[in-house]
Formats: sequence, C-alpha cells, structure tokens
Amino acid sequence: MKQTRVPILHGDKEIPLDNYYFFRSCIMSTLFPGVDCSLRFIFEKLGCSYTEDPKQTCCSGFNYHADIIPWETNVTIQARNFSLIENEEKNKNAICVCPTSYGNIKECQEHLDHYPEEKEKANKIIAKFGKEYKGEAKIYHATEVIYAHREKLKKLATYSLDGLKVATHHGCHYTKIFYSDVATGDWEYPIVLDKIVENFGGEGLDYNEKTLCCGMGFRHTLINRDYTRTVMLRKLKSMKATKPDLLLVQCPGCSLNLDYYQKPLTKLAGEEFNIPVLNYAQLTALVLGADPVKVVGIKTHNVDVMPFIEKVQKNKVKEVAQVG
Amino acid sequence: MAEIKLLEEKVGSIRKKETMLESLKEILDDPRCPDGFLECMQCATCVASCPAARIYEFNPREMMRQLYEGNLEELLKGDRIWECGQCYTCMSRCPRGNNPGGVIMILRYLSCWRGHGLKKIPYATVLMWNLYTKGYSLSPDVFWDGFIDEFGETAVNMWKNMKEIRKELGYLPDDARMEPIPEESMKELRAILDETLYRKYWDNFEKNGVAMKDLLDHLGSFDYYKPAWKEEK
Ligand code: SF4
Ligand code: SF4
Repeated sequence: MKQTRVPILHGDKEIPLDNYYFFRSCIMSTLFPGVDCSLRFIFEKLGCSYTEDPKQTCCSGFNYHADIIPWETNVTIQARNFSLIENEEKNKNAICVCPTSYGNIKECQEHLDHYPEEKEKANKIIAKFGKEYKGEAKIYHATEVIYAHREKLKKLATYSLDGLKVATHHGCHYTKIFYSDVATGDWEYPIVLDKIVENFGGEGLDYNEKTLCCGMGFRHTLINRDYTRTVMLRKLKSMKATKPDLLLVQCPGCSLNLDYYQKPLTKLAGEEFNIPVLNYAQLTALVLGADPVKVVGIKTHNVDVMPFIEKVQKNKVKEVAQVG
Repeated sequence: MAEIKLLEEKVGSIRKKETMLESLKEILDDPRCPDGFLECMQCATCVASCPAARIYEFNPREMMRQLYEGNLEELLKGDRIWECGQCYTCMSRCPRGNNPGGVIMILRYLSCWRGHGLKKIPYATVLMWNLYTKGYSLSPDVFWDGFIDEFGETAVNMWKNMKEIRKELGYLPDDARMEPIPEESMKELRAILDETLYRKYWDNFEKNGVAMKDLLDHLGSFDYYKPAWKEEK
C-alpha cells in the first residue's frame, strides 16, 4: 500500500452528488438484501441517477482476505469491473455498499495506476473480450453519499431520531486501509455514521471499543470462531454499557457478526445484549418513511429491530403516506 | 588488529544483510510489499493495537523480527500467520509505514503456494468454486451445514424461511442478487480466472496431495455448537 500519512480535515473529501454506479456486494445481498433495497429507495427519493449493472461481478474481496484468490486475479477482476464503470455514459462514480469492496477495489485501482506494466498485463487479458481499463473510475462508499446529501435528506425525512441514542461501528476496511480518506472524522475516530445519526436528530454515542474490529477476520468467521467470539464479546460489552437504542453499522460482515452473535454470547457475557442492528442505508430509508419489511428488510435480522422502529415511528415530523 | 576485527564485523553484517534480503526476496518483490517493510523499529505499536494479539500469543512485531533474521520458512510452516484478523489497525498506526497485516497476507499466500497452508483454508472448496460458477464469493446457497446453528433458534428459523424472505424483497432465493450475472459476463470472469493464477492456485491443492473432496468433509466436521473454548469458561 503506497500512502503517506496526511492529517484529516473534517469533511475535506469531495463526494459526488449524482451519477452513481451501484457497486453491489455479494455478502450484503446475501445476508441483508434490505440494504440494497433501502439504497435504491434513497437514490429515488433524492432523484439521483444510478446504474445497476448485472454484468458487475463480485469484487472477490472476501475471498482475497480469506486467502483464496491470488492478487493477480483480484486485480484483473477489478480491471474488468472498472471497464464496465468507465463504459457508463455518465454514472461513473462507483458507490460500494461494502467496506471490503471499497478497500479492495481501491487497492486494486491504486495498483493498476501505480504499475503501468501490471495495468498492461490486466488489459491484455480483458482485451480478449473487448474490455479495457483506462483509469477513470472513481470509488466511494455509500455512507459517504448519504453523508454528503444530509441536508436534503433531513428535509425529506418523515421521522426524526430525537431522543434516540445510537452506537456506531465503522468498518475497518473503510477506515483503516485508506485511512487518510475517511469522509469525516479521522480513522482513529471516524464519525461518518455519527454525523448521519445527528443529522436526523439522534445522538451518536462514544464507547471505549469504538474502533475495535468486529472480529470477522474472514477465515475466522468461517472456521475459527473463537477469535470472533472473543473480539465480539469485548466490543458488545463496551457498547452495551452506554445503553444504545440502536447499533448502526456500515458493513455486511460487521452486521453479520454484531447482529448474529448477540444471542449466542448472552451466556458467556452474563447479560443480554439485545441491541437492534441496522445499516446506514436501512436507517436512512426508515427515517424517510420506507416500509420496514418490504424495503428495509428487517426480517433478515437476528435481533428484533421492531422495538427500535416503534420508537422512531413515534417521532413523526411530517405527514407523508408510507411508501412501499 | 582491532581494525581488522571491526572490518570483519562490518563485512559480516553486510553479508547478513545480503542473506536477509535474499531470503526476503519473495516478499520484497511482491507489488503489495509495504514501503516501510524494512524499516520496522520494533516499537510494538502494532502489537498494542492488534485484536489477535490480545487473544493469542500472536505478535506482529516479533514476526517482523523473525523475518529479518531469515526465519521465513519457519513462519510459513507455522500456525501463527493464520491468526491475524485482517483488520489493518496495525498498518494505520505503524509509525514506520509498515503494514504487518499486509505482510502476513503475503506470507499466507506463500505458505499455500508451498503447500503448507492449504489445510488452513478448507472453505476454498466451496468459495473458489462458487466464484467460478456463479461470480460471487458468497451467495445464500453456500452456507454449509452447521454454519448458522450457533446463532440460535431465531437465526435457524430465519434461514429456513430465507428463500421466502428474499422473494418478498424481489431477490432470487439461491443467487445473491435480483438477477443472475449474465452468461456472457460469467464467460469473461472465467476467462480471467483461467488465465491468471487462480487456476494454478486451485491445481496447487491436488499437486500437494490435498484433495478438494477431503477438504469438503473436513469442512462439514467443524463443530460450531460446542466449541472447546465455550466449555472451558
Ligand atoms: S508498529 Fe511498525 S515499526 Fe512498530 S513494531 Fe510494528 S511493524 Fe515495527
Ligand atoms: S491486521 Fe492482523 S496483525 Fe494487523 S492489527 Fe489486525 S489482526 Fe493484528
């Protein structure tokens, strides 16, 4: 990774306000399809132009960090995906829903741009089916888009988060790989999600283990769960102490862990966690009045989200019919 | 006399550096090798930040030192490199621009190419094949038996109904998305996988006498319900 440490200024990252290439994540769509649906709902509410491209393949980031896909392959897969983005007429801003996609494709792009011979090698392979990576694709994370549109979203909101306390967890592959590229806050103290919460009138909580990894560890979540359990226990205990109404996350892997492990860890922790977990897009769509089941997709959650939704629905700020 | 000794020492250390660089060639040549890799000052900032170091005797600082001392092969054969959780907290904090998590990833791949690490990635059987046939790392149909059990009754029941829940949201029951990746795109992806190291990585299992089928059995035998660690506490 070629990167020099640059101090972060609050809000100095330029984020495009329109023309998105919806870069989908296999883990998100597998575990929490409601996040995709929520994001579409938000794009439509904002009137943003976006592309959903069936030709985009998985970024293979999960496999890469789980040690089963050689770097060369990873980079070439991205060269192909980038060429699809570049071929778009105007929707050339890749919006990743998953931090590992974000970190992984950004790393691949850096590599292709940094080593012309590697770019040539990848291009030679994808040229066989008429594709070429030129170097124009821009990469962002979807939380950044919601953050950038915050003022408009506040005006569109049906509910407010007034009086609600939200603990946030930012994905390591969003904050720590490209650490000088966090939209607001610093990687040591990321506040992109907190700003989204505050924008809707809620309170973003601080807790001791805010920047601790969720313990997913890729291979660990698959076959070595003692690791995940131990990290998760520490994280959840520290979070629980601040009595959050909701845990807001950014990443499908973190959501899987933070949502699914709460119940099995009860015995070990000696306390019930029972903290509802939502993703940034789900919370935003909810506040905008989206249907909790048909859009937000709360049926795919292990900890019941309904108690939180009922709290939100008491905070109506304007009369808008619920949109499915 | 003293001068000669000094000279000998110097030559000795230069020689040591050369052998060191020789043994680290594979890492240094890797395009992902971090800028500050050779500048580790053994400060242990990475260790203090590392979640894996809190759990295991895992120590990224020590690993960097072992590498400089020429113990590459030993590291590749051992279990330690497999304990890292790939969170990159070490990288963002390292004052010397090193990236222990990234170096460990390079080591893991080297370990697999040599054949040592293949048993550490039994899920390769499922996930590598899934990428090849469907174009995703994960999709709803790849979770093997027992994967969800640990998460309790609600999760198990949820997954029993997952196909219905997905349909309600407009998603395909067994595919990750609303529509599968078109066949033409899959052909392109497969061309990439066949022409890059992916195919060789796959063949590397058989070459080292690790049959994919055995790995699959191995995968099914992971007991998520009763981990030893849970019993102890
Ligand atoms: S933080 Fe960096 S310099 Fe310090 S011990 Fe770790 S790798 Fe070496
Ligand atoms: S990437 Fe690995 S070595 Fe680095 S802090 Fe995370 S678990 Fe530790």
